[in-house]
Amino acid sequence: MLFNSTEFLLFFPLVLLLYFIVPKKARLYVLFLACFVFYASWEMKYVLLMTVAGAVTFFFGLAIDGQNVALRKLNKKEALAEEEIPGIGQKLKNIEKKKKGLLITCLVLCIGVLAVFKYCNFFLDTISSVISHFIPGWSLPQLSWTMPVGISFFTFQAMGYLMDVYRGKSRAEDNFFRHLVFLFFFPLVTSGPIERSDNLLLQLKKVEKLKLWNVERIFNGAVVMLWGYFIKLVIADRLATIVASTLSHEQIWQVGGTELLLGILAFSVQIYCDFAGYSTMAVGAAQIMGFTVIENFNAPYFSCTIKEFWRRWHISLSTWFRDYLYIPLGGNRKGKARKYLNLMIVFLVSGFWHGAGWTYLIWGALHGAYQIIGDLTAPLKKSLLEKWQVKTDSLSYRLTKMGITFVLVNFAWIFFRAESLSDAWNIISRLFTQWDPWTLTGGVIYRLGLSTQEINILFVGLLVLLLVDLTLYRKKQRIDVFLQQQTLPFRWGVVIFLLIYVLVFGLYGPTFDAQNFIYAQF
Amino acid sequence: MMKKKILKITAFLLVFALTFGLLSHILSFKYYDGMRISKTFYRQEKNTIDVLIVGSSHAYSHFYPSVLWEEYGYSAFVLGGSIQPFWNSYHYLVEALKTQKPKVIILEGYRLAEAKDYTTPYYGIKNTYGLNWSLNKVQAMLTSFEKEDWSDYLYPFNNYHSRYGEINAADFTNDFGCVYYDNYKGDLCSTVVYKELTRPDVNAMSKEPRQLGARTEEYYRKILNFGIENQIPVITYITPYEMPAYEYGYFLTGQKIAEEYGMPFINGNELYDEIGIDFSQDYADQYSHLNRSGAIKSTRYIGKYLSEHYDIPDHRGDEKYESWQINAEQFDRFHIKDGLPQISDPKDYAEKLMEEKNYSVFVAVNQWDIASDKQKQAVHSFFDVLGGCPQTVTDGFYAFKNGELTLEDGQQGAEHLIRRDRTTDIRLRQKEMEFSLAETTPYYCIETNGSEESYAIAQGLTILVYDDLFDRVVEILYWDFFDDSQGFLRENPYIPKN
Repeated sequence: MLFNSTEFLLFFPLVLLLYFIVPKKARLYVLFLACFVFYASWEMKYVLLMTVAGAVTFFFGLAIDGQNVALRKLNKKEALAEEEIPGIGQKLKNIEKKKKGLLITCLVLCIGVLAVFKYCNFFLDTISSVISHFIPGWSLPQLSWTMPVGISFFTFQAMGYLMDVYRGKSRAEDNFFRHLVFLFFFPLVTSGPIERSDNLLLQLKKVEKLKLWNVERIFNGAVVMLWGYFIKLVIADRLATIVASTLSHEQIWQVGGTELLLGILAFSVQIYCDFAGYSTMAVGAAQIMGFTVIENFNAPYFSCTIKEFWRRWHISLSTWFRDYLYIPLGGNRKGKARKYLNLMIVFLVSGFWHGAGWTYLIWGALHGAYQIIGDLTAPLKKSLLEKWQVKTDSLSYRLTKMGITFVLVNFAWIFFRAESLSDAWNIISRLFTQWDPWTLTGGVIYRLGLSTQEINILFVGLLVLLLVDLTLYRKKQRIDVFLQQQTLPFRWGVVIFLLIYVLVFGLYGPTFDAQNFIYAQF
Repeated sequence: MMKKKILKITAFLLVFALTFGLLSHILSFKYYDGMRISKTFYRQEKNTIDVLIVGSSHAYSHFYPSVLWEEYGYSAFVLGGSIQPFWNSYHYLVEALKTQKPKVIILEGYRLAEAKDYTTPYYGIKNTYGLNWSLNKVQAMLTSFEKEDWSDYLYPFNNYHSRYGEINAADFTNDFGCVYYDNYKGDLCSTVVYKELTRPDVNAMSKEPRQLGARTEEYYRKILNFGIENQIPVITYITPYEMPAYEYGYFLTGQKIAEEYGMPFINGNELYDEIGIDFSQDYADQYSHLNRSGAIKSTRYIGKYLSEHYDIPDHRGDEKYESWQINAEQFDRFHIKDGLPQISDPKDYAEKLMEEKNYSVFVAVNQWDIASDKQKQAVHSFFDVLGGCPQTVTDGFYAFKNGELTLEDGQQGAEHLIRRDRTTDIRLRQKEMEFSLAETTPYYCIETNGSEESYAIAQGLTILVYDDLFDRVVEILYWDFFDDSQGFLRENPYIPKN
């Protein structure tokens, strides 16, 4: 069930009611039941996958942890022994080998499942298109199953967990239900944030000790959820109309350069509000239940560099790649060439993670290239700035950097959004060949699928978004924290304003097509 | 500390609930063929309705409580809804009997021909959302929408929150924007005459009964049972329409069922002559909805039937039933504007306005000097009846209200605001008509929505008649000084038709 569905609005309060009133020992099982029902609501048959995936990672985790325990015992024995124990070195090596083998096996299984469900058709399609150059009409059949919801997210969460156990950072979970709740925690399972064993799992271990009846925490969690609904239902879903009327395959040739540009800008805000909206709802829901999960967004469009952008955008994924791919590959510890290679690998994988398509790969590659070029040109940039005596601590300089970063990010979004590579090229070329900025003064914005009234509603929403993100950027305060520091009437006024705005102007209900979350498709 | 928190939470919830409640009221659907009827039902005084009519659009189009009141003193209410199937009629009856004890129930039986198990959600909304929240409403909604649609339709705000683009002044009032609804009795009147229907040959139709739709039969029996349990006769009356042969079979089955329960059944399609239905004059559209002429006949027929078979009290003169008296008095004014659009003679028109009261008249006079003496005298007489003719009539604006001359303005640049709300802006404005670049001449005109809707005849009177009781424009009339026929014109003869 989508977060913006009536079913969820009935489901969540019911879960909360049970969770809050059951005996403490039963709380974990209420969460387990909720996760089960939530996942089953998408597709009953994948509950089996959920159980099997959970069981496999559970047992492998225990097995790896078992090797860690054995390693520790042997190391302790060796440390305490007065003389060298014969064969202990080999035993240690064998345990390490076994441990590694277990990890690799389970990781391969995880990636394998992901590959089968998510990438099979991409590979089949790619092979078909290559061979069809030589044998016209030749093609491999496509698999017609639906992708299990959240597979990219819970797979990465599971892989992260296994690697944490492997590294000894966390102990393996010995409670199967807790393990399943960790992997398939219902606020997070659809689109993240991707959690860590040393955060969410640790909190789940202490679920019986949580003091649930904390009015301030519940109110703040509700405010955070409300903010998520606001940016999703009021902003993202409205912008979807503009994006569809400009960047879809059929529309690209019907619109001019200005409309394409507006479409790209609209998409950059849509994907942000859609994804951040979901993440915020997830964070808020978890907070109501007493859990603090990782923040996924931190005013990303105020970033001054691409590097900074990735510290503020989809934080749980970028930190996951840093900790579990970039650093194991060597990070920046093996020279610049290797660093750049590692960066490019990470971003190519990231692109591929987002979607089984060449456009996603190009998108990832662009971000990798941005960072590499940024790094390579850093010394030159520094010397030019010094030569021209540019005031690098000035607001104008920061704004310029923000502007450039925003342009680069938006350029990459073209590939992310385009339905094919040729569509992406066509959008880019038409931006320049169909240059028609005068249409802006002709009211082009009112001809992109939204009425004047809808544009006005959207504009107010964007203004509020700007204010909230600016507060987050400048004061480093999330909306709930900021409001707690204000007077009661102001706090209530803002909350009631947001509530009413969402209830009245949110795009939900049977008169609207429920806009699925963009990241749910990953 | 705990007490303070509880107080805070309660206060917050209260503020939110009040705000939300207000918004909900403004945004909620106010369909004239659904919730407007049910909402006004709740305003009826307890235990005042003696004749309760339920059914589809054939109910609210074919029965006039005002006629039953005027001719028999019966207090009737039509609790109908568009495409109202029997499962909704049943729940309407359950709801009605919470506050009313009717002497008879009339079930307009057209929906015996409903073969489907569900109507579209659109009609489910119209026949349930107007009920007040109760177990009965929830049951009505559960039975009206298919299971897979429950999450979409069981929470009404889900559906009407997006009405923000259509709200108008009527959404902010309790009377749907017109005081007529203060005494409304659930009927709808059309004066359109649709001549394309033909009288069915019922005698030639098969007399083979047809199986009713499963849910239709289930709830028909429930309604009849309901009548027995509450000791109220349920009269199934199929009001006359252009009945197709295959639907006759459903009504024959319905008749048999009604007989099982000992309840009366009248098929008006077997009584066209007795009712006096003329298929070329008495219908308003291709869906066989009776117009005013036909509905009066249909109502008179059932009224006579009721008077002959049931002992229903005559409440005329009883203060408790004043609402029905007012409704009857206002019916013609609301639906046919007191017949004013049919009157062309200015003096007759003015006399009718004075007879009915609560009308304002706004007049723009142009080129008074070219009017003939006869025309000038006629205008003087017209003004005299309305409230008194000014000593000198010139080009300009004149207004009359309740027998008084309230405005006389022939000045350059004259402008008067008559009424303004979200959807209406009526004003009198003196403008300049351009003949050439150098030559302009002033003329007085009436605007109803800015310069987009501007009315003026260059040589004559432009008259806007305004209903002060119902807050609406009755019509705009023209009196052309170049036309000696002396009657009002309803269209400006100098503006070409599109």
